[in-house]
Amino acid sequence: MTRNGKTVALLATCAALLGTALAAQTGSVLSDLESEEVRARYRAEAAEKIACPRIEGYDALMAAFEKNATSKWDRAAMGCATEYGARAMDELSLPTNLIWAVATFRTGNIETHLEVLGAHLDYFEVLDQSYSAHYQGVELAAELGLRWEQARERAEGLMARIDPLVSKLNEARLLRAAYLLASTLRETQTDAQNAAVATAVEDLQIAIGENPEALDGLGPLLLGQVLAVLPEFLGGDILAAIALLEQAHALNPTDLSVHHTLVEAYLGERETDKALALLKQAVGIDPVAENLQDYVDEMKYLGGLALRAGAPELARQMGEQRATVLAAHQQLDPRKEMAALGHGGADPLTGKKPEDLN
Amino acid sequence: MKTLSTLHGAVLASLLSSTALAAELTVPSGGSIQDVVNQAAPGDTILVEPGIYHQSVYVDKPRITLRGLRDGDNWALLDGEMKLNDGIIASGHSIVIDGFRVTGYKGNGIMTQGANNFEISNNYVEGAFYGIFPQFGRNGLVIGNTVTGAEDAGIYVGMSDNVDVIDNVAFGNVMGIEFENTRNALMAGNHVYDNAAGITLTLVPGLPVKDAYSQVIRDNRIIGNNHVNFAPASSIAAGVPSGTGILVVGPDNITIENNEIADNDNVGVFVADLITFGMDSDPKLDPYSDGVRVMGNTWRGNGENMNGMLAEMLAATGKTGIEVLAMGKGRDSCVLPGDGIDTLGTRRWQDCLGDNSVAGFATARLEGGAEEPEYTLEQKGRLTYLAVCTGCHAYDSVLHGPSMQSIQAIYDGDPSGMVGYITDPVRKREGFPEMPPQTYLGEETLDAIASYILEDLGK
Ligand code: HEC
Repeated sequence: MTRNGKTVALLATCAALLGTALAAQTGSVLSDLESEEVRARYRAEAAEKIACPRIEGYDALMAAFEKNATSKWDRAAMGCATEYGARAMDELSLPTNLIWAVATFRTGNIETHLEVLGAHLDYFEVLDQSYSAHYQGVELAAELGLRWEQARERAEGLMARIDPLVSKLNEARLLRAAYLLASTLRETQTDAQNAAVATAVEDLQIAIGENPEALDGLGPLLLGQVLAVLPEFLGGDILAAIALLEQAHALNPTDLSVHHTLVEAYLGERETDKALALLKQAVGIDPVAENLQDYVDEMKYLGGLALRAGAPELARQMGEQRATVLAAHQQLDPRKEMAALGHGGADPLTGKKPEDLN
Repeated sequence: MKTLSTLHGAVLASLLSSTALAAELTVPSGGSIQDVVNQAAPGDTILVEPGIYHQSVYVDKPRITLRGLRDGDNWALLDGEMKLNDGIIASGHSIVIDGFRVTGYKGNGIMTQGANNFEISNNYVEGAFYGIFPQFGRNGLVIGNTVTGAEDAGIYVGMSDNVDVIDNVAFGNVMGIEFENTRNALMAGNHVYDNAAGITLTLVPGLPVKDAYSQVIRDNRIIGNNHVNFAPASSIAAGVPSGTGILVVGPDNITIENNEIADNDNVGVFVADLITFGMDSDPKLDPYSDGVRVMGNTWRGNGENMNGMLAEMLAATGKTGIEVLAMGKGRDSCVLPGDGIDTLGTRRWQDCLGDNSVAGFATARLEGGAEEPEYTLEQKGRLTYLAVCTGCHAYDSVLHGPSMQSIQAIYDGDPSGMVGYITDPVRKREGFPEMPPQTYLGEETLDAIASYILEDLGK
């Protein structure tokens, strides 16, 4: 298995509160841009912009998939890679009977399907991070919305073929849960989000019961994330979440996304000492153990958590390591946060940038 | 009548003014307010006669009083005609903005940006994205205003300290009154009705100020805030659940006391964490609302007509009629047991004690006022870029105008070329609205903005 899809980060459940707005009344800059006509225009432009060059044949498609499936610094390249991967899978038969699969030497096909699905999960995560924290410009919103829809459509196609395997293959069940959580993070109605989370939780509980170690502990990580986020009266349980995340950490001690969630959970429980111990461990992890984009993203995030936990020296160290990796790999995206509609960007009084870790 | 109110203004101004030599200047009906602002010296009072002004006004001098005169229904009316973005923007300290009617702006009705010791009083602001919006201010007063129709917050105190918001009326906005990333503030005596959400107290990620705390919300009337949420779908405000009296997301040490909270269809007071709204993208923020005290309020008919996202979320619990809903991991919050209210999610909450009361808390402002630092050109460039240009331009996407990245490419190494354009914009792009000229900001500020955009922004 690849490591794809392991880092499915946050969960939508409550972000689900985001509703759809009705027509605006007063004609602000943003509401002008909500007009159907304007949106259609930018969608058409986005469709043209994100279209991928045509490639034919399984081998060429798979080669193009492999080339950029983990290029998390470049959503365009990743978008095309996942598209090529999904198209390659159209040319591959997927046995739904495992005994038959072993007999016909096609277990590899199953792995390849799961790998392509996993790449889609990473792609959802990259898209999720591309949305601005405050206000989307119409051009970016149109592009991200379209990318999301297309990715979901492809992933649905893959899921339809993988579904029959779920009852027989723990990894397939885990990835289905991961898919449900990742694909509903954005661009999804509340009821669909709630349903997705409910199904994912069921899948995760079954999968962990069967084998918590599958896919380097993805099950405990995801369920821990969900239980940490849900309110108590909807089944959330922070102590159970922490136990699961500690299990995930033990199974996969160098995965920074586990550090990210577990440190956050500790801070939520005001267990600052445990959080600091984990942050210190994270700063010692070798960048090459991670996707480099994940590394710089997580160092930024963990550095922020270190500041919050009252450890500025640790944050500074993380900032330096992040800067070193960014300087050595110019292709990586520093994920600048810029202002729109009076929000965000540099501090106008001090000039400090949002990503500064001091 | 007119002379009387002029006289009244003059007396007040000379009482308020700290310099004995302060002059009083008058803008004749329909004349250029900016011209008079440019002539004014610190400490001066500018009286604006009733009439219609299709203008944006920028004040960066200290101690200016800008007062709209009123003759019955005849106001000094600033009307952006849905073309201009901003009504009044002020970054001068000790600014007073009083008595204007403001309508038809696409961005901010009245904004202060980096102004300390500000006062915004007795204005009537309609429409706009933000109605009255003091940002980065220390020590300020927002009093006696009426705000309606804002697509975000009617009165929106952002990243400020020591601010009183008193005796205002807010109706028909997405959020009536908001404190965002604000420390030490008082909201009292306001009437907040028919907004989607009455009052919101928030800690928003990705802003330079990383905390929000010590807010007193007392003696307000928060009634029937059930308006449809008409915020543009792509804005954060679109996530605010309609039918909410008071929404608390992230700040600490909040007292909600002696308010009348009635007929809000989903919930009276909703206390959440940032994660509840998917707003947890900034690790530097503590996402939990701690120390929320709800005591001595009058409640009637809240949560009796649940609908929308909150109804969906709570369907599984079968609960309605909730006065206080908590959906997070905050600590040290309390309700007063004697209040006999229905709560949900408050298992970790405690009982408030009598000495938690802030009923007598009169002001969050600083005795003697805040310091008034003079801003450097660099700071001014950043402040006005943020206040004005980001209203229509984003960095890496089309907003109302083209992306700043594309603008950087056009004017690379040519700041005066950029200043030339923004002083006197011409139509260049198919399918874009016209950009209004930014001359009112003055040459010095425009130069500062241009060098900020070309030399620093995103670099
Ligand atoms: C009310 C909205 C609005 C505001 C406020 C605004 N702009 Fe614009 N801007 C536009 C629009 C719309 C265009 C595109 C005009 C066109 O191409 O016809 C534009 C275009 C531009 C251009 C492109 C010039 C070119 O040669 O292509 C520059 C430079 C610019 N704006 C700078 C600024 C700066 C600096 C500010 C802040 C002081 C600012 N704008 C404020 C709407 C606005």
